[in-house]
Amino acid sequence: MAKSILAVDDSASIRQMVSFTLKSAGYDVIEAVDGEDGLAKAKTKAVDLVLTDQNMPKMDGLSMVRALRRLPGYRTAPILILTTESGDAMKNEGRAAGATGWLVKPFDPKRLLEVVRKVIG
Amino acid sequence: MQANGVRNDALFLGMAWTLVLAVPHFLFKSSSTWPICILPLAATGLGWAAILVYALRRERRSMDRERRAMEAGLAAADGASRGAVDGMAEVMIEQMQGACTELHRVDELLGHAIEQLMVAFNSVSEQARAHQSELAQAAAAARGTPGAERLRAAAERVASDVDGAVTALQFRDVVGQKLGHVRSELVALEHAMHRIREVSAQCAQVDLAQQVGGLLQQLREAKAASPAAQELMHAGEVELF
Repeated sequence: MAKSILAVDDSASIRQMVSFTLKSAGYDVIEAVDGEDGLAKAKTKAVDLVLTDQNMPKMDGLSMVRALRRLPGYRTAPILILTTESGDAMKNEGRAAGATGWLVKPFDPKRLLEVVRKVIG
Repeated sequence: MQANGVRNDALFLGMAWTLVLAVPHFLFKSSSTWPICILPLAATGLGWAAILVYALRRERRSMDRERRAMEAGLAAADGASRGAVDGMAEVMIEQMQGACTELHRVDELLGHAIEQLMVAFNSVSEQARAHQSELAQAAAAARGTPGAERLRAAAERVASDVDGAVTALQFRDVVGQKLGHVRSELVALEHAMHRIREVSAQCAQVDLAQQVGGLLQQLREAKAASPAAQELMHAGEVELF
């Protein structure tokens, strides 16, 4: 059974590129448009990996990460942040919130697949 | 100049008064009526005192007139400078609103362009993936032959080109964030200009300078770096914690 990934980003073009890359490699992809939508979808269907943007309306990525970590099914699930921000302060905040990794946009599809395979196989 | 004129008047009157009273003193001082002649000297002293008081009062009235004239001049200059500040702020507000509108149009154009690019990309990438798959199958079938390596390399080039397109097409998100940041800064500047206009209508000249300085300092402190620091569309770094 294919592994499932929740891709959360308010940018439609990023969601398309992430879905294209991951689906081409055989993963199932569920898309969400912001942190609130992502949290709701994660509660509805358990996924193997969450890949989320940081700067989003309604609920930002790190707030969603903290909320996910409080859910029983997501205490240790891999959560990657995919964002334009590259500063150390933000990365440290992501690490403290419980993120598994930090990817800076724009992503290289080959590199993204390497990281995804590393965390969920 | 006016004060000097007043002092000269006082000196002239004082000397004239002294002469008028000193003459009988010197004429009658050796006579038995000399004590009576002391009176002119006393009168001289009183006269000098009266002249001094007159001179001081005239000088004070002159200074009061100069002070009122200066205040009127300052008020006129203050009104002119407030008018200039208000006019400049109004022009800057218009310019910033125009710049925000243009940025919004650029953002919309980008959005439209990326929509069309994505439609084209979806079509081309499907064909490319199919082509890549055929090349890979042909390479597997031709294993051991000279053409197998060329087919395998061709399949890899197609995959690499598609990956490059995926990286480049993420520009919409990066540029959109930079545009959003610039718009936010323009809006903050516009609010500051509105505030300067309000303040210039209310405060005295000194307060206006302080208030404007305070607003500019707040603007400097509130200025945040753009969340998107990318200069080029090369793939970003990856870090696993």
